[in-house]
Amino acid sequence: MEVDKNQVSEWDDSELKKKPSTVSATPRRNRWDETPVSSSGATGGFKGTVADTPNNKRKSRWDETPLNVTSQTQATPMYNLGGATPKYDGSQVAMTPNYSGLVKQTPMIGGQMMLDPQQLQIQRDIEERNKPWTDEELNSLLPSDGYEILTPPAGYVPLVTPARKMALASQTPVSGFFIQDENRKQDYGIDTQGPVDGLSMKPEDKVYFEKILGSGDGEGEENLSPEEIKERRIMKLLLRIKNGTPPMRKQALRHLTDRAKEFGPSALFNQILPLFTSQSLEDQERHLLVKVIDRILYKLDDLVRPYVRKILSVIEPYLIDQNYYARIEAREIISNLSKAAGLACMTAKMRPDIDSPEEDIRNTTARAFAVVASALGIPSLMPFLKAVCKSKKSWAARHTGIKIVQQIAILMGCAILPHLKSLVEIIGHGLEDKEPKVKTITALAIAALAEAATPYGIESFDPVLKPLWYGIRLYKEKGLAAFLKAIGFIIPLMDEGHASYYTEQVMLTLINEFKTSEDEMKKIVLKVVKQCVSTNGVKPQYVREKIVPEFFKHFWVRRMALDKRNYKLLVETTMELANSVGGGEIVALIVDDLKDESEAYRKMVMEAIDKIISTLGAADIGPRLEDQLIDGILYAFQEQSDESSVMLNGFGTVVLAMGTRIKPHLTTITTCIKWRLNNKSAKVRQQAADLISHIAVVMHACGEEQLMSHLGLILYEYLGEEYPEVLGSILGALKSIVNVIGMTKMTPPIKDLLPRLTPILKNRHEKVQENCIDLVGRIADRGADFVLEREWMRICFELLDMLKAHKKGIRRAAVNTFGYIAKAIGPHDVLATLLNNLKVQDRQNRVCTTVAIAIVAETCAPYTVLPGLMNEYRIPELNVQNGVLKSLSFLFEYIGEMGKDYIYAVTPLLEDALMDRDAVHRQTACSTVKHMSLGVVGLGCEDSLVHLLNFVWPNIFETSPHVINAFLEAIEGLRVALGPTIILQYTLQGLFHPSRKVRNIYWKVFNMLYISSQSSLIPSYPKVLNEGPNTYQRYELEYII
Amino acid sequence: MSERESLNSQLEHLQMRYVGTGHADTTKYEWLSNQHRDTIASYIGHPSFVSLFAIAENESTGRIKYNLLNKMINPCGPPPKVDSTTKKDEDEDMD
Repeated sequence: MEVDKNQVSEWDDSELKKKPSTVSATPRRNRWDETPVSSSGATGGFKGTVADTPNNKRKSRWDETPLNVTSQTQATPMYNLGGATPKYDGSQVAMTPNYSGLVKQTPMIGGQMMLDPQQLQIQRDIEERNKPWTDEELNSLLPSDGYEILTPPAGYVPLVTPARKMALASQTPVSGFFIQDENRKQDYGIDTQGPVDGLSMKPEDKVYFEKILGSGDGEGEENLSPEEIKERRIMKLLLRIKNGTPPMRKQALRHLTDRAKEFGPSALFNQILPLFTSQSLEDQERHLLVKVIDRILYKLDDLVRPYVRKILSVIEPYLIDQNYYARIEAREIISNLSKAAGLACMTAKMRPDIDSPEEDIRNTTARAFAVVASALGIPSLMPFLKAVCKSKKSWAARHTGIKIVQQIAILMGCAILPHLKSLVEIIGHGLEDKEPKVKTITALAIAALAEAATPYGIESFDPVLKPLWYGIRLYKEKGLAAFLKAIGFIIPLMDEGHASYYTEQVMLTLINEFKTSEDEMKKIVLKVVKQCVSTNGVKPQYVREKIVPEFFKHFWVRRMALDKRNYKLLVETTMELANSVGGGEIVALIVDDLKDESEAYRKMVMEAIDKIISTLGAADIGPRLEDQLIDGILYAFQEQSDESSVMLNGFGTVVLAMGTRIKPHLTTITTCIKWRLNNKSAKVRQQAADLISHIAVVMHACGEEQLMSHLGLILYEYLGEEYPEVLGSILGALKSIVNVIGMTKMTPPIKDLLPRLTPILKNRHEKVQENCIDLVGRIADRGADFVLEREWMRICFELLDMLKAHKKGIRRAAVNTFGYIAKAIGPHDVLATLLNNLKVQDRQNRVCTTVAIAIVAETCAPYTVLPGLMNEYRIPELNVQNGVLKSLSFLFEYIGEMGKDYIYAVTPLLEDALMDRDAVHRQTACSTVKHMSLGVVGLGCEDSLVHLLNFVWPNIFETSPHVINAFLEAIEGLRVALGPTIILQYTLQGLFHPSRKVRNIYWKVFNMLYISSQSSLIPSYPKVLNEGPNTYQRYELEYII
Repeated sequence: MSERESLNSQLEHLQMRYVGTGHADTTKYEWLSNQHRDTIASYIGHPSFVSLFAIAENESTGRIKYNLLNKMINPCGPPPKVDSTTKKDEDEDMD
């Protein structure tokens, strides 16, 4: 209907006014409108369609008579994009009407959908820019004088391209209305608010929720059939779940779940499944939809049966999705589906796919079956599996059956153990199948079963050992690879004797296959070698003579370093060989390759050496090999061009392992480091600095203090470094040097070094902050006297900012440094700074400050801090008072027994806090009481503790979880300090109180007491008089001799 | 918040695993029975208690232990008859 443009723009006004009667007969069209179809006919057509779908609530002006149209058009000039612009129009058609049809008819998405969201977005964007001028725009652009609006020639037929024709043909009248409505809103590509609860949505979503767009006000609901009302309701709920805020989502989800039965499965799944297949579905949205499906599956239970097939066809592809979470969620749905629909239904529905000619379908079906097996238990699926694996009809069915077993093993891991024997039995015959593919998959399935069963269950594999063994002699290439894989996984299950025998057998084939050029085969061979060599039964002698030479000849080649997985496997396998024959030997074999031309290869060599030496040590590396090794490492280290830390770590490991033996090489290493510290590349400088921190300990052990002092000076000079990563490393290196040579011997002297560090504390980079604060803290701890007091105060102020850091390590280091500084320069100034900081807004900052205060109190003895701290409590400010209380809490926690001397001092303050109106006061005071009482157990402070208990106890009816928790903990602490009897006396009053609320909490306290001091309560229980037939007195306790 | 609440409920769950713990609806009889059982268990666990009772009751320690063990079954005598209607009324009064 885009073709029939009977709307009239103001360009036509004058003419219309002149001859209004002719409007219906020969309507004047918009000048820009190229479509010459007569309007009356077209409108009639419209009416027809509207009548066809009377339920469509969106009424269009097309419903009215042509006359009406005219007036309407005059009132609101239209953007008649639809008709005027072939291109834009076409795209619109391609985007919208098809979907709307799809949503209603089939859950699957048609071909057009295959555009990904970005493409759609771009396309939309381009069309938006290229859309033709509207009348209004033309009006504003062109002057009204001197221009005449021409009518198109009588014989003019607009050019209609084939693409446009198709687009026109494919559109349905109903969706045409939709387009008009869309146009009225004029989407400028800005994400406008959706109509439902003001939720925003992606343009791609609009096609799904088309029906509820623009009907937010509920206009015309009465015109809809109940079915449609239901449909729209579900849509609204889904939209809320998908795009809404968490509370909105929660409510919608609950609503949808509660009414799942009422809505019925068909209405629900017809809405949900198309959404699920949307290309623009994000992880989060998919997760929410999975949740929806889960919940409604649970509610609908066996009502879903007719929809199983439909659901599976949508969900199964996700089983092989690239996204891990997509796979997990697909599994979850299928598992719930099978629980709801039952095994019989699931097998019946998936059965046809088992021998599908499509490899992909069979693959997903096998995976789906594995999920069903894990949901309903393997035994229930066993008869079916047995039948499928033996299927005579087609090899594809057997293939799928065996694949199901493989997937079950992968999915369920060791849970297959109880059924291992029967699983192996039902697939065993596959090893001798005629079809090579079936043989391969059988071997792979056996490998998976063996892997899942490790280290148990060798006896279950007995029946397949023989065919496997024949197999590796008979087959080649892919088949052989699978068989080798199976054997590789079975050998670790065997006992020693068998393992060594079978290893020898398989090794011949394996060594033959070392030569292979096939990638998959290589991986399998490496894996099998690793597994064989790591079993106990294989003698080092055998490995050394038979395996090692061939292995190194074929695998330690440059090509292996190029593929990441090969690289990893090779390093692991070599490590396993080294475990067997000794590290020195293996290192000797590859050490020369450290000077290879290929950097990737050098890296692989280095990583292998790193692994070998870090696990096996450097004891069996001879002097000659040692020289070679250091030489090679230095070469490799200097030649490296990329940024990985492989070389660095390897270097560090080797130097550490060699210990003092490295001494002769240290000068060379230091020269290398010095040279590289000066390098242009930031990464090289960083690695050089990192290397210093790696080897500082060893350097010290070698007695090279002078060398270290020299390095210290050089690093000091580099403190002006501008790259934060490098600066962090340099600070780290300095720290490691200071750590080993001590404050007094350090060069540069501490009094020069520290002032240089103060400005660096301002750096916002985490690595710099962490290393700098560590270094400063270390100096404050060990060498505080080398620095002026004023400098330390300056650092204190810098440290306050550090308390805001995101990283906990930095905050902790900062807090500790406060303690060291306070110890060095006395607590007074530091405390003043910290107390001031209690007034800041940021909570984390205040919490850290309270911790710092407590630490200062701990290091400088509490009496230096308490007076000032308690004085601060007099400030009538919530944050400050709470901060003081919190500091006290931490303080008593840290000082423990020492607290006994301070209880009397703080009791009045705590009294006040425990009676405060503010709950946080009482909460914090409660936790102070807890720490205090736990610290002074058995030190004779019962008097004041009982006094405090009297203030704590009334908080028993507090409802806020934080406060009540703090209360309970305080009681727990007091129980320890005062003994359970006293607390029991308090508790007894409420255990049988008339009010349930009272009884609840009192019993809770009693239970707490009972669990922790059950036997100590025995003498304290009250004496209860006998009652009727019941003896409640415990006479034994009254015996007197 | 919810974390704290769940912590509390966990605590309650833990408490429920101990037989002797109670709750708002624990009756006097139940509570005292548990007390008696705990007490008897404690007696038997402390040989000096048993000796004391043996002298006081002029019985052998073995007999004392035997009697105590027997007492564990219904330490306070038979449970009181529960009159459901009155109990309910009481509850309503209480709240």
